Amino acid sequence: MMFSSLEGLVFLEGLKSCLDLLFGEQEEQLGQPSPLQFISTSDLKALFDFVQVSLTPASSDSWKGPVLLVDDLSVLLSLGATAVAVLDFIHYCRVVVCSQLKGNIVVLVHSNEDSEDEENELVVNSLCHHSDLILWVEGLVTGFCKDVHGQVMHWRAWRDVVQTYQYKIQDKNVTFFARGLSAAVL
Amino acid sequence: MGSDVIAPRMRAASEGGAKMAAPRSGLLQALVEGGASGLVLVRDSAACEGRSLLRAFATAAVKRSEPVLVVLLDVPRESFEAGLSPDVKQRLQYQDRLWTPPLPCPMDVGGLLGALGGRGSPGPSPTLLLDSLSWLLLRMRPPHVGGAIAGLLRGGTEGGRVVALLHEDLHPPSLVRALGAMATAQLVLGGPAPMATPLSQATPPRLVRVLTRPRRGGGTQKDEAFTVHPNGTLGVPPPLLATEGEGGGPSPTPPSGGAPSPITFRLRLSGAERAARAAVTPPYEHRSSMQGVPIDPDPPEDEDPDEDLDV
Repeated sequence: MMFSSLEGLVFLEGLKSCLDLLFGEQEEQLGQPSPLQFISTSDLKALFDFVQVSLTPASSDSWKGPVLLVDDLSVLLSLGATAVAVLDFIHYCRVVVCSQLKGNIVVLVHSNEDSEDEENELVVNSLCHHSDLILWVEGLVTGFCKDVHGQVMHWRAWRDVVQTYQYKIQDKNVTFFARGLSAAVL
Repeated sequence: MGSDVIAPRMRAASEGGAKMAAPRSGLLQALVEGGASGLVLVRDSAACEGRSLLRAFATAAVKRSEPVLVVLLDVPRESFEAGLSPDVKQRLQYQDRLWTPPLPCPMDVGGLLGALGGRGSPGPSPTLLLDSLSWLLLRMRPPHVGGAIAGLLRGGTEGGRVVALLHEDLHPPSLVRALGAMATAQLVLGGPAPMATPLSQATPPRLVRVLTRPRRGGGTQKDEAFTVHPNGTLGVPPPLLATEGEGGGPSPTPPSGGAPSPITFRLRLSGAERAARAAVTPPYEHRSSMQGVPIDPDPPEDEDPDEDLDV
């Protein structure tokens, strides 16, 4: 999980903190509950409080347009949170980040049409209903290709228009191009 | 511009009273313009959103000078009313406790429904828009939700309606069917509509399957195309490419899982294609006049030519 603004980045290394919490290596921070205490209490409120405190501006001219990046939300399910608790967490984050602070939330989730993980699919489908922009990334159905690494489909809420691009991941950036128009083809 | 186009249709619908299908306006338009009462389900999916239809219901009700209460559980107020005219925004009433601080903690579903119970307001046919019913169903037991909806309908005035958005891909089909049994009308959102003439519109026409359940007798089912303009007014595009009457026609087939269907061809025939196929002479009835050699169909095969199977 990461919070960003023009002034810098704030990281919460969830997996590392999770291990510290599970094996008791994390020191108590002046009575502050751990953001990941939901592992034992199934309550994501502490995690939301951490997000809220981290993004709330200290002065009026800082933290303009904050961005909350969650990588990835499916891990919360794997750590024992229920699907509804995860959706409630996202709801609270939307209220604070999007409505109050006029920022954005970017969430990574995993989905598969053949998936039998009903909780994860519920979270993914719910997020699709609540999102303004959906990017659906997948590999090519024809298999591996060294010049085209996959395709991304994106569509916006209110409009059922899907646009598809192919992409190639390079060392420091990603190039996008229309289907069938990669440099290797042209 | 959109409201000017819609106005004559609205007048026609209001003059027609509770008639479901006026000659010019479709079933969907009649429902939106006051022809529906009771519970109206707008069933959408991740790939085919239905919130724009809720906005159409809100806009039409405001134009009829009806009080409208919008219960926002999925999206904040600014998202719901984006694009609506200032006059419509001003006259909408909101229940958006979940989007205004102090936030209820934990999610106070019971208190929320209790607040809705006192919605009875004087005036003509109040409209309650619930965005969305799925939010409640994920947090409450379905019988309680059904009881709450029934209470809302009983508490409203005669002719009032509850228009609820249901994300049907979040619930098991049995629950969707049970909710459909409670509804007087269901609007099942589908994909893009195949139009007879290409349209250059910012909002491409879409398909909706309208299921109505009159108080007496069975229900009706009809597929229609529609558009919702950014200002929330409903537009009805030209007829579909294939109109096959009630119960037929291209079915709304929302892709599952949010991804578009990879199929690049249609599995069904349109009416014109089906008629063209029926007009083709089968090859075994074809006789070549050039060579004068008739081509007769093969005689039916004898299943037991040796008569050794009859024991």
